[in-house]
Amino acid sequence: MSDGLYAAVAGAVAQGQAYETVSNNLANISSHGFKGDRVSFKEVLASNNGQTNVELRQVAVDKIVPDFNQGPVRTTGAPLDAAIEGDGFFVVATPNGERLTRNGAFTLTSDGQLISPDGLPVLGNTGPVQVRGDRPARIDARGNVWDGDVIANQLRIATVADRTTLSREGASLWRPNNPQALVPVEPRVVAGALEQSNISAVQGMTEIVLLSRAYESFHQVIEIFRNADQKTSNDLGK
Amino acid sequence: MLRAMNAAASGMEAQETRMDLIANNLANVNTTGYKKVRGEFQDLLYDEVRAPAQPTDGTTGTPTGLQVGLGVRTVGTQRQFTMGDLKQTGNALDIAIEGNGFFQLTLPSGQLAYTRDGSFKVDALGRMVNADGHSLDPGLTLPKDARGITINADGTVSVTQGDDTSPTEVGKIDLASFANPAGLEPLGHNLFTATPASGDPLYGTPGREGLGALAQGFLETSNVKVVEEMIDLIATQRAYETNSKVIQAADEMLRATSALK
Repeated sequence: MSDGLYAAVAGAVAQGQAYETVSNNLANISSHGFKGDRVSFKEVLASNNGQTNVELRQVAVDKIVPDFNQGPVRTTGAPLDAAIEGDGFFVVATPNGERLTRNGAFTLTSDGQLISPDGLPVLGNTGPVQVRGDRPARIDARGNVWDGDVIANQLRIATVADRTTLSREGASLWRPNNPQALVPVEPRVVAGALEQSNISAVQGMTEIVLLSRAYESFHQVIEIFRNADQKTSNDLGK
Repeated sequence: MLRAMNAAASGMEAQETRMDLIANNLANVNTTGYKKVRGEFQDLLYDEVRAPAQPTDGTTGTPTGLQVGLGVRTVGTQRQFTMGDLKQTGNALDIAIEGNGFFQLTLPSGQLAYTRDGSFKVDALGRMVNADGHSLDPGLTLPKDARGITINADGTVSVTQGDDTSPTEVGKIDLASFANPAGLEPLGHNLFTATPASGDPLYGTPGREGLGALAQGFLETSNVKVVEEMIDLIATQRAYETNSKVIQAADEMLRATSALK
């Protein structure tokens, strides 16, 4: 068997993994505050029984890194919608600790507590944001939450030193690997607006085409090695 | 590859939900006091192949993880209680609320319902009722010989009766507000009912304490903006197509694999 066959198989597997990520990006094209993932590949040395073979190099998925670029901000006019401009995340309280999110589609509970679309309490600088609920509440450009004509709290906007260390939890939530490491950010909020997903359909489709063609190319390579091996075993032996 | 197909299928489902919401919003573009609904979508749980910051040996850790997403889900639909435009009708019993608040009505079952649709009429008994005949709560009856009806910004209703020259006050319209109007349950017919999510109604005088003032002779139009909905419609259709292309391409890739005997 030709060794190159394994490189081609590894290539096809890596392209297939990247394809899954692009597919998830495109599925979330309408999720508010969603950040797409980028896949990077790395060269690995093939090993056989613990012996690495420097002659035989293969490819594997190295990292899947979130792309934290700003998504387009779209005005909704709803007084409790907020989009963050630049770096930073809203902080919400979950039963498992504080989580970060870029989705600012907030509502109030019947008791006047500000909650995320999942019903998680949104945190301000002085604890969970609470208004009386008998007068219109709104969020302003500095992240202040107004309860009628008084400021009830200011939205806590935080980030971590290295955003690539954040883990995804689904439901637009990010888990910091060290909850103590949250760094406050000077709030710059677009009030009455939501950050859209930062996925571009054009880019996503281009990636889909490239990945599926690359995948097919690896299959052609596999086919060629297969034919060559067949020839070796059938013709040379005669 | 199957993960990709499932993620794309969940994407198509989400776009379908979005399309349903847009269709209903557009259908209600001329409904008095209608409030548009938007969908809220979120990414699903991630398949964590490797968490970020896992130690590779004693001293170093991987800077980033390897997490593969599994698609999208619809978390909920959110009604947008932003103001619609006010349209002058000149009809004395048409009332618009300029800001926060709802009219409270009694349904025949005795249940209370809330509406932003202020196109009131007078029934055979002289009661102020909405287009479906449900009366205002607390009820307001106009005298049979009422001539001019004046509804002030603060909700006081006065009429000029018979041969009188000066108007007499006959009642007052109060407004109800909710901590979380998005939690109201729609009943159709422009009506909503309170739920544990919306909280109990808080009553007040129009124009005070954050409640909107009343505008007689005006109706609040639907807050659906046709242009916005059309843009969403196009985006939704394209996103649906894109997700279906992902499934197609994944299928072709699988076919290539299975063709390798």
